[in-house]
Amino acid sequence: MKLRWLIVLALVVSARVLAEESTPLPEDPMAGARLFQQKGCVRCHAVGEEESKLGPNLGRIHRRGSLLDVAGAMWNHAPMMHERMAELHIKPPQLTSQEMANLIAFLTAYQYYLTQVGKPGDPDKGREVFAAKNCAKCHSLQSEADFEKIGPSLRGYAKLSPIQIAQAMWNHGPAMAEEFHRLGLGQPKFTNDEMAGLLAYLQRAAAPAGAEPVYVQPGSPNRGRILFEQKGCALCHAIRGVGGLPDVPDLGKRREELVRSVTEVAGFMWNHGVAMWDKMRERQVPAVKFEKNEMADIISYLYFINYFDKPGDPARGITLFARKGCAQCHAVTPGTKSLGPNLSTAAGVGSPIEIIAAMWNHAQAMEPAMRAKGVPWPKFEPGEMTDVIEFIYMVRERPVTTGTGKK
Amino acid sequence: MNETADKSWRVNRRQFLKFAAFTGAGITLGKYLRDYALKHEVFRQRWGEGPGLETFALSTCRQCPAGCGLRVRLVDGDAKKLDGNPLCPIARGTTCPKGQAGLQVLYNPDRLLGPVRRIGKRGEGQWERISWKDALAEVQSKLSALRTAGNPHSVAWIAERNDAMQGQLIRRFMQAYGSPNLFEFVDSRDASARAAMKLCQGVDEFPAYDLENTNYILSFSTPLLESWLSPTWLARQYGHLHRGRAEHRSRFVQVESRLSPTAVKADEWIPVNPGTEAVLVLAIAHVLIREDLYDRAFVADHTTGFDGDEGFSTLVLRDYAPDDVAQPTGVPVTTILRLAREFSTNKPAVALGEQVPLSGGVALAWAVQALNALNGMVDRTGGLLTQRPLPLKPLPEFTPDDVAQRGLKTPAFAKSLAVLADAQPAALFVSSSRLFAVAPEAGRFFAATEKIPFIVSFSAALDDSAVFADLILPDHSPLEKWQDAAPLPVNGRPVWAVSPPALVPMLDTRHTGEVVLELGRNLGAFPWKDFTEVLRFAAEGLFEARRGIPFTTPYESAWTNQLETGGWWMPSANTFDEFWEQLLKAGGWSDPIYNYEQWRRVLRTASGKFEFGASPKFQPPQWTADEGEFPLKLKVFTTLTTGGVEDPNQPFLLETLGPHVHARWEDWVELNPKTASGLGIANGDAVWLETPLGKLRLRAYVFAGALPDIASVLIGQEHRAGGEFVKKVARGVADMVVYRPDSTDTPLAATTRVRITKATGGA
Repeated sequence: MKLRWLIVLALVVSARVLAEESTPLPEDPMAGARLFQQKGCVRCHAVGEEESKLGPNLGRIHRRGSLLDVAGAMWNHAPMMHERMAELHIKPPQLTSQEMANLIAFLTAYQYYLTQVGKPGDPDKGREVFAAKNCAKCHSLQSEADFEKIGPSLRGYAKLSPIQIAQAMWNHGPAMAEEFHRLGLGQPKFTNDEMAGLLAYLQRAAAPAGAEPVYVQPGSPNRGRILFEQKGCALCHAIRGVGGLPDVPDLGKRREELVRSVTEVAGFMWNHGVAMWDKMRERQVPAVKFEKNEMADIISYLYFINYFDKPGDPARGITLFARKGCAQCHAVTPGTKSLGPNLSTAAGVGSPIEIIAAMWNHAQAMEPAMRAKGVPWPKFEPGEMTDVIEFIYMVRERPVTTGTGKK
Repeated sequence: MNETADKSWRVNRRQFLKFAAFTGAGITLGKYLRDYALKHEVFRQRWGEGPGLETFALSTCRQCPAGCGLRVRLVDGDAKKLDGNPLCPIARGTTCPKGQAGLQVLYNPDRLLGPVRRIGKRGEGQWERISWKDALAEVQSKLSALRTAGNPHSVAWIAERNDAMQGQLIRRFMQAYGSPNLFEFVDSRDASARAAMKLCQGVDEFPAYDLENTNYILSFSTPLLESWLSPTWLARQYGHLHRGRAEHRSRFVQVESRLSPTAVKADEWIPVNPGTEAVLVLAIAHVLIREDLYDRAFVADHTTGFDGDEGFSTLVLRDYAPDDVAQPTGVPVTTILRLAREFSTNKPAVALGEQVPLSGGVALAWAVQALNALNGMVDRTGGLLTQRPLPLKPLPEFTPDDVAQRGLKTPAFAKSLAVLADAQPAALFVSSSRLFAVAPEAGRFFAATEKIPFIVSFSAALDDSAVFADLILPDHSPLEKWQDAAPLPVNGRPVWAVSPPALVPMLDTRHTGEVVLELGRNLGAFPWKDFTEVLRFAAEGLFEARRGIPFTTPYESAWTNQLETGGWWMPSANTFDEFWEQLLKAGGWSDPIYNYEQWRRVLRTASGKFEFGASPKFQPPQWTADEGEFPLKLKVFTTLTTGGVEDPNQPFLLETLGPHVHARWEDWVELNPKTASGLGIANGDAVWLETPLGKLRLRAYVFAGALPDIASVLIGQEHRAGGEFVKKVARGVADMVVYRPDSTDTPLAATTRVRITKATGGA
């Protein structure tokens, strides 16, 4: 009976969550990686361990922002970028709104894929974790047939992608929890980079000699969102106040825990698994298991939960519009002429992404005009662009429901 | 049919004879005219005759085993210029001088126009053109006869070691035919380094080095900037280590008994007596242990044989104290101490000990491996790496028939050139002639070929193997054929270059891979129609491996590396056909990641640890001949433009034989000023260099970079044939090196004493 109610509740929550975000999450954040090269961004920006070029190395930029925050950061660096590009006779790249969406999705995902995940764990630390968390009580590192061990040998897991190991741990979690109870051991918990270290140690100590690493494709936030519904996660977990149960954490408010490396997120999920599995048993909800690439999709979704901004404040937007000097060039009253386009009637600004793309593309022409008028280049702090865009929608006399342009 | 028409088809005797005579004359004349036309068509100047349509094609350089990607500029279909393929991770758009000269292999005027058969005595140079059909029939007939007689093992094959598909086909052919006598050699690597890897790590592969990420290179006579590994890759690494990293400049120390071009470019040159490098390495190890500068954790966790009465530390502390070693090596104690301290405190640091040509011996290679292990630099960032496997699809399972299995069980004799020659195989196939120009036992081999009844060469021109071949089945020029290359270990990352022909073959030549397929088809060894199918088959393994990426930009390589570090991978193609197209468009495939500290992968000894205890017995260099009669020691070297070159008949290379001494189109001997003065020899004099095996006239180059009592001579120009250009220079020293192998049958570099006397007249 309880289960039936929970299913009904899940469907209602699904409908609410899906309706809330009419702009779909990125299907493939990697599309922007190719764009980053095609548009020539790589001429100035290095990735990963590549040696630094003219611009900052993306691997060293740590920005955990929403879509509009990332856009704001791109906008802020436009004048400096144009100067350097002019020196090098490079034409600034023009971006369509779709390209802008892909690029921002890539830049958002970049930390998820690279700057966090890209740092391999410390195997020496992992060895200590393996001992301290009692892993060796149940798992052998070498032998496939160690009958004294309750758990499977970790030999076969050692070359798997971290996300696959995290998925295997998650799937075996309830059974493992029972064994921990039976053996009188406390469920191990992982903090910070302990999980990464453990996986690195497994690779070093347990991988068969000739084995090559097994990789998986990066997750899709959009597929992850659908899975979040289908697997029933949304039954208990709210996303930014939508759905969920009152005594279960709202994942939209757990940005700090979720915007970390995959292994850290997996560790976080594992840690909260103990309580979760108990609750699920209590409520007769079957344990959630993931297969194939599903864990990658789910974690990708968790990473993108705060991708869309909360609704901006048009009142703050008015102030910002004036303070940042936008009003000196852009009229916001229909029929009024201005140096720049009248934002109340200008075409091609139907969504925040379109606005960002338009701003980016006209920044090169705008910068000398502003200099001529003695207006400093406006810079946006996190959250400010949301407010300004909300204000623009207001003056265009359209109903605005969210900061991402839901009308 | 009417009567007139019917009559017109009647042939009387006169008409028949006329027809037969004209046809015969036509065929005979046609053959000569074809050859004449081919030669003149190929090599005539064609500038400006066509519309000047410029196109580009990708290819793979085969001037040395590095297999750098090439970008060929074609005008109206004719190859005009070679540059590096910018997407190739080894070349990154660059070529070395050998790569630039590659067009001269294509346009070598001494290329064979088609298959030829010897008609005079061996070495007389008398040949007749034959058709491919006749040539292959002759080979098949000989092979069948030997197999029918139950002697497949009497067939031997000399080939350059090649893990690419042509090399694999030759191995499979020999397996299917039933002979264990495939002799594979490597020119640009020191075989002892591979032997040491086997001894210490249980890995049967050449070592790889993480030069890109190292802080300190301690090289023992390794020709880092000359004829080792890939010149383009090494030149790029050299630049990167010195200028490519902000606030970070690596140090490079070259220990060598000659101021070589590598030593000149190093931050420091440490002169050392030839043949004593291993002693110096162990003295440095002595200091590391004595001063507790070694990596205790690594040694405790990942090595064996370090402690104990017969352990490495005991041996080194007992026998290799710097005070004892300074005199024999010629390196002062203070320098030894400083090198040890620098090496251990500037990590990541790596020691190199590959001497090519010839070898420093397995003792040196082992000592260098041990030094790296002592410093904890095995499979660590900036250290000594182990090549990751290239996931080409393995050839299908094959069970040789009974005849072959019996043949394969016979003891193999193709262990070295000298042993092979002494065994007198019934038939010998030679698919690379390079070895004959550098191997000291080549003279002995050539003498023994008289007794080998049937020799087939695949050379494109009348080169060294043509001296003794009975039949030559000329291969295409590299630019004219489907190619793949699996470069020898460089930085541990797997790379596979693949490219279609950049232009249509100009002569009546044939891809050696196709010939091997043809020969092996009757044995059921090859299910493929042609060599292209073989390459596609191999590439399926790359597609199925779900890692790596077709050659791409540095950005995408870095991006792929980063993704794989996190356990991610993005497919570049959804289908194999799409993937194959990408490979051809890019010129190959690579996997840019290297996972460090994978001890179970790289330490494959029985103990699963690095084995210090596997030390070969070290012996001081044994110089041949009497010191009184031959007072100087011979040091041999190759230069960048001679190392690894298969076809030496290239004017560009001969023009730049020794740029560091301005030597062009000639061999020379480098002498120390004091030594030269004592012999009454001035710079530029003609001199005779004599060893117990013969004498050679050379020009003397006197400079302070040569150590006293050492005569340094270029090796690799010992060509007995090879075309109109190279024969002006060919008079190398290889035949005069006294052959003395080490415990692994590897010819040692430090063996031969020489005498230098002034010759009359100019050089």
